[in-house]
Amino acid sequence: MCQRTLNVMHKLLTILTLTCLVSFNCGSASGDGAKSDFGANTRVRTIGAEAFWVETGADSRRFFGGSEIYASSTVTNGNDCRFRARVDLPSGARLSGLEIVGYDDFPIMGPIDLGVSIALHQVCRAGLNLPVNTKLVEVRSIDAPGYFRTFQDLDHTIDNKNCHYYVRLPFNTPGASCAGDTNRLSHVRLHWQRQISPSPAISTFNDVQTSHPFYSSIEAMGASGITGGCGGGNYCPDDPLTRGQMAAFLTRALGL
Amino acid sequence: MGLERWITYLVFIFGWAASSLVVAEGTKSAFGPSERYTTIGGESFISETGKDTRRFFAQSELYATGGLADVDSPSDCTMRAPVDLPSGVNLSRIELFGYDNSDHGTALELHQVCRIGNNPPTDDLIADITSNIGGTPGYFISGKDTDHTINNNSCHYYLRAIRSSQGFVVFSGCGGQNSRWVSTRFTWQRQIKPGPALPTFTDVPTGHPFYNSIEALAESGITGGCGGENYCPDNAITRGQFAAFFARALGLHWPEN
Repeated sequence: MCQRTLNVMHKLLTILTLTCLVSFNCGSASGDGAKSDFGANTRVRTIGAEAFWVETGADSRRFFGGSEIYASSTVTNGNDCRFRARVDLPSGARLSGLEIVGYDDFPIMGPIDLGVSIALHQVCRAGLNLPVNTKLVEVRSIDAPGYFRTFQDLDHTIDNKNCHYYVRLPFNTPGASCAGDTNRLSHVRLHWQRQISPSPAISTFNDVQTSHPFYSSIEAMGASGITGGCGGGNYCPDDPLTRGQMAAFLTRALGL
Repeated sequence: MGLERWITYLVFIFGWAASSLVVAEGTKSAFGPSERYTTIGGESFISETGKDTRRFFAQSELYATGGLADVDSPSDCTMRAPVDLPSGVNLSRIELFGYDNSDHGTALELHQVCRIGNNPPTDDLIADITSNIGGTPGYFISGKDTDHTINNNSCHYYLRAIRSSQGFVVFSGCGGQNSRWVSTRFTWQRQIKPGPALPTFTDVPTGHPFYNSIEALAESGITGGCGGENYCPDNAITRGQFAAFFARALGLHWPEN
């Protein structure tokens, strides 16, 4: 069953890919923007320039054009050029990439101009010890003047129980004032997918053993409290789902 | 029959609902195709420029402080807030609730910023709302109908609250408590994405009554069909299959819940 599903998925992917090639319709403006961020395929969470706050007290934030944020060069303390924005994704989501889009007019990155860079941080609590702040990934503007779009792969599972996340944008040049409108950020895009949680080593239901094709799904349903099984320690995976059972599952899961 | 109706439920209710599990909306009923509301308060706004003119009147009424001597330009009196609605929803109305003493009035703008490839971003005004300039001073609710599908893939959205816009001739400071923004309310509905021109499954042709729903389930990765490039739309669903759909759809089950 599982293998058959995989085969079908593979064929499906092939068909979709061919459709893309024929119609040139993939990744267009309206491409997958019309889907909600829901399901198992790749989702995008966009963080716009308006979500950023300055890290210190002197607010160097300015907007260029419609919605490109930069740090005003009239602010001369490099500490005041750094912006942060919170990141809010569901627990268990797999972060697969960080993409930044913006403008950088300086062709060379180095001691004079750091370019535009964004770092994604994870902060986790550790009992009563110091919190653990980890830089998960950092993405930089490309080494050419103009509008840019830079993507970097990532493989990280979100843990909202113990951690929180933010992105950090340092618009400062070393030992100098803020970069000014020659370095700008339009938005940050986080690529992610939903995942089913890892399953326990021992099965919860007698009739759904660890080798069952839907083992992880049914365990996840049980762990979430959406189902308690069909009685007698069983889940009855091959029974038809009645309309009444469906109503119970949906309302419990979604809090309707 | 039962399965078909079930598919419709599935797509309507949680096929388009997941981001509501992420974005707090103050209501637990943000599922399904009927009208939903997202309300953004004054606490979400930040000043557009470096001069932070934000102040709160009473409990939660945002205004911009500062006389002519304190601010450099009208932009110093302008606030912005990010807008986060689920992709694919239709935004049907936007309303501003606030206070205005009717000297210059206040305005609110919803902007969409999109970027394709390495082109400069475009910034489009989706809707703008103004208070009743020259009318009776007091609290007001001003709104506009819209018909706009949210696209979070290529775009992001923000609100701009402007102290004075129309009838503005000489800059006279931010105006302080004479103009206040309490909240902005978005009315929206979930939508099922129109199906593609070519069907994914042999047994669900484009004319099938649940074509859009089934295609949406497939595209979201929730189903791969029943084998042989079919979806078997008239088969009864088992409890095991339901668990697979549901766990994939919602990304069950991680410790936060």
